[in-house]
Amino acid sequence: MIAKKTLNITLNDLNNGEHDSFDTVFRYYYPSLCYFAENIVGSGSAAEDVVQSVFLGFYENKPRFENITALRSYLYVAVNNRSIKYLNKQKRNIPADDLLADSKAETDNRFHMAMEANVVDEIFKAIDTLPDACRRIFEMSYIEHRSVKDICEELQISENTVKTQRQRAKKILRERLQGLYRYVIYIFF
Amino acid sequence: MEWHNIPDSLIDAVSASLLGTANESKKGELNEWLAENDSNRLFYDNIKKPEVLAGMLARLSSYDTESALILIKSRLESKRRRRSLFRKAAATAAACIAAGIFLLFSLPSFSELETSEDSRIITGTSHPVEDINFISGSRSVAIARNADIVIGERGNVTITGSENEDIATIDVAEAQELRLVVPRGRRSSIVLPDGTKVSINAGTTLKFPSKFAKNERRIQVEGEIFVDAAHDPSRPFFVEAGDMTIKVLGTQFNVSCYAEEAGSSVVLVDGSVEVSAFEERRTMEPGQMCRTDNGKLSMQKIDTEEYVSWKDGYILLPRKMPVSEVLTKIERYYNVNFSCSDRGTLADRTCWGKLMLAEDMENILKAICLISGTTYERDGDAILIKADSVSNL
Repeated sequence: MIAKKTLNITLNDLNNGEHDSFDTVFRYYYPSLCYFAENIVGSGSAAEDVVQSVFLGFYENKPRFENITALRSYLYVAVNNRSIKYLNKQKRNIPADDLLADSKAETDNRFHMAMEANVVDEIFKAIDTLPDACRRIFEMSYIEHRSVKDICEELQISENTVKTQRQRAKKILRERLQGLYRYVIYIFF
Repeated sequence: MEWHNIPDSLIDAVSASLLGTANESKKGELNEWLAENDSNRLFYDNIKKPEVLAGMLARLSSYDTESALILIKSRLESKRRRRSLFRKAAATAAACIAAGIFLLFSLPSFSELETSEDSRIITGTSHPVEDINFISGSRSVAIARNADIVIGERGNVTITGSENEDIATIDVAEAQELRLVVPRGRRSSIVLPDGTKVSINAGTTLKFPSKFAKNERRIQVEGEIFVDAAHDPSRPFFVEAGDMTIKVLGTQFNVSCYAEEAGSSVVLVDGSVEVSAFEERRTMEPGQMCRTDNGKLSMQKIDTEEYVSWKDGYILLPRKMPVSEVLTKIERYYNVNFSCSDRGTLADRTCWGKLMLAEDMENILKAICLISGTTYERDGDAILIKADSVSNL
């Protein structure tokens, strides 16, 4: 599986309907959109169905976007609507209004769901940019919260190596999470 | 703010704080957001827990992006070629009739189709089918179709095709060992010099003499055969299959002994046979199956039709069977391989009934898909089978 670490497309290509740029968008957003949909529909395979059918429409209709944030909004809204449609089909006897409830609580809920999907995806992609050696150390240290001593023992390396690699990881991550490396986009009008 | 308009800077601030790489300005942005309301605080406190975040990351990496992309591409392609639903259904029905498929089928109800969560796919590869080879000594005859072979008492061999057309006649002068190799995707039958009829399943090698000895008849098999042994008490008939030796006086039975499957098995339809393996010896009754199982013999009662129907050109599915299992059953007949993707096997898509083993794999696949609520696409050698429901979503 190829994880696309950066969304490296030109909006111009996308808006001109270049197929490769659609593939790039797909690879970049598919996991996080599935994650978002799964939080709504409650099943991984149903979530994948939902996201795939959204992208099917995306490939066919070739919508145009002014910027990358608009693209992301479009995809999240489409996945949300499609998920609700899916739930409606599953629970026919529940009035659609109940499911579509646009109460403040529901909106809050969607916001946090989308937030979670975005943050988890961002962390995943950030960690994924790390070179292998420092990635493993970083994961053990910051995700699994293991002690330096513990890591040294498991990986059979010195305390110094652990510390250097951790610093290196942090430096790379900091650069990425400035947002500078997230989207490599050239916009042509 | 609309729920879907999430500023990039906020995503960065939360992510960086969780990874411990946030600078002062990012920390400030996070704190400001946390102070906005309790639900932001609850959200952050939850995701901050290492075991929670680790679980979330694991879930994110569980979706199969590349398979999904292939699926979408193929679906776009098939949409382009899509005929009306009626024409499609009519064509499939016609294909079933053409293939002579009698199906006691259980079509999933519409609601089942639409609400199914199953979008998993099965992919397959179809391989070219090789010729049957009849080998005597240094001579070899290649037969490019399913063929029936008769060996006369004087060693004269007649090979005929499925429509009774003559393919070849050979004379095997002196007694020697003969070999019939039936590759995957082919079937054959042979009448041995004593009148014993042997149906030979796909992917089987059979060894036998052009003339049986005076005191016994002996053949060797790797693969699957159905034997209707001619009655001759003075010359017992032996089948050697892997670890097993089957001793017969005159009866009908099926022997399965594929190299790629663990163990050998015998299914007795009629009469009586004696099976020996690992210095054990068992006498079987009709309706029983005897198999080698971890170095010993085990017996069980079975419905023989399920095991021997292949010789009559059909597969019996006696109960609702998941599509993946049905596909595995036909792999050998059409020399095709199916692999079920990691996430599962379309377990809720089932069929049962009689599947006629049509000459053309296309027809049998169409039928399986029609009754199981799946669709199938073919691009050259590649086959893709998936649940119907997605397009209805």
